Amino acid sequence: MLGQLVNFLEDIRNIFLVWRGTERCLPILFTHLRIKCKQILLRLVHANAESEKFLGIRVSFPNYNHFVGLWREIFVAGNYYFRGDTENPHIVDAGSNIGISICFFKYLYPNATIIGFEPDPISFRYLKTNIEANNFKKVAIHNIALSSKGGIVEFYQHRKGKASPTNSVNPYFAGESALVVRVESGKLSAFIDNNADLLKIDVEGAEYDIFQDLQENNKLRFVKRIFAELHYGRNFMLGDASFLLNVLEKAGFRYAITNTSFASHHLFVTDLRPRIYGLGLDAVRV
Amino acid sequence: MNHILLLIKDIQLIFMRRRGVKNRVRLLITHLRIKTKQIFSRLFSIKNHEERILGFRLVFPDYDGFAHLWREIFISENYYFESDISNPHIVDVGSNIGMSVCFFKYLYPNSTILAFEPDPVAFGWLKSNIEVNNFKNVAAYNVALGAKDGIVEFYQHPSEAASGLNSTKESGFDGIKPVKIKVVEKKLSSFVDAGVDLLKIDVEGGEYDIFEDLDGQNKFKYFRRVFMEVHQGFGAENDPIPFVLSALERNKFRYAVSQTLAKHRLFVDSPLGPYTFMLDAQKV
Repeated sequence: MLGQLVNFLEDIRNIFLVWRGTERCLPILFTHLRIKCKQILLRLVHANAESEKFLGIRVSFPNYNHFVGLWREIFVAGNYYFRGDTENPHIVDAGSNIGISICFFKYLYPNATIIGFEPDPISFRYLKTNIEANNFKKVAIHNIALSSKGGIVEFYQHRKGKASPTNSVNPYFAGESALVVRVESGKLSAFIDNNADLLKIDVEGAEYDIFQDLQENNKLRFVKRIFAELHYGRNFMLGDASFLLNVLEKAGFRYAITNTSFASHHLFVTDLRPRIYGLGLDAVRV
Repeated sequence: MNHILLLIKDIQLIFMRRRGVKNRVRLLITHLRIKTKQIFSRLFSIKNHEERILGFRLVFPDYDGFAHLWREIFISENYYFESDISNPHIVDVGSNIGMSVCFFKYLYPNSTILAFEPDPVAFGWLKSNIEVNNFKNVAAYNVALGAKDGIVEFYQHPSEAASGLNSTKESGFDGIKPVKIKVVEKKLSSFVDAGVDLLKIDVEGGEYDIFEDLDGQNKFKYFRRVFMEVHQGFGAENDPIPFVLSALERNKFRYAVSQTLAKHRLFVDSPLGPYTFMLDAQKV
């Protein structure tokens, strides 16, 4: 109860801190209040909604809570907010899930050129529907996993909850009873040949392959800014966080750790089981 | 708004702890008392250099600074750890006025503590606090820890006595001109020759030199846990953060970035700003 109150107050504070002084502040605040009320009502009557209209955007999704989670992360906390040098920035979105990030980029920069990647066939269906429903121009989406080699790879889906954001090519992200499907994979380096204003990476462990590929093919020189979610933890087929940071350093990026996912000191010292940790990284080429 | 949110969060933290109703109530009452006193001493500019908490007596230069340390160390419990022995050996680098030493003694009254504080002013308060509370098995050294033995420059806040920003690195002072003094520098490796249950490091940028020394002298094998603040200074250059992580990786620690003071929105406008994050590590 206290936790929910803290979250709610923090959301309101975030809206003011991120959007203060822009014409987007009030619309986002009112939309947030409406979405939270709807979420509470739906929970009370044990119902679900599979679509929502907000800020002139129409999206569909498998589950309302899933949508609210993404809404809070992307629109309320502004995790992917950035200031482009132009009105039509070029954005590479690795791990688009159902496309809320793309909606956000189009909300921020209606003329942005976006290339989105989503390996999960179910998430990709929602992604495609959402792009079409909003009639977004200059958005290309690819139903492939990003890897260092290409070819067919195994992909692990949560047994419960369609289109989960933690579905991954890494077997440790989707829980023990994950469903395995086979999906096409490709190299991100093949899609980056011109300046990209932003590369967003949220791929649940595949970031090691992606960075290795971009480094080997010398493509990071095209990228101005990176927002990445890095996962680390030995015993989970993940590399070392220092490796990823070194790749960024060699490519001339200055970075900051701006998010710790769900890690906390208390969790670390009281639960000694090994687990996957994540951190959010902001990097800018200097 | 911010103050209310912080207070609710503090109360939430107190109740999240699973260590008995009596303990929680005691913490809550102490916290509310300190918060009230802090507000009053700010409103009426009262100078208050002493406070009693949880059976300890603490002296300090400034009530605001004390209240800040109290929150960080006793409420957020940034240095809490669970030990299977009642007398863990703790190395506390950057003890400031000794709030951390006090917390370790509160947690493990029989612990053995090595405390290091380079700032002569902070060290004076640290020494008083150890004496006033009659702490046993605590050794305090007025030295800076670094990559060599010798004399090193030390930067003090110009107006705030025993400031948490004081450091052997000037980079932490964003826009303030610090006072420069000279202090004795020693290598931590020469103090460590047996098992250490916890190494706590909070040295405002000096952590890289300490890590280089410990790594070079192969002393990481003695440490079971490391809790540290890692600092990135202002500017385009990255501080040696991957070196710190790879030293932990090579020495078989599991680790997590458990807290960061950087915010995405703050890096939108100034992507080269300084920040601090907390790193917890435990040998596996």
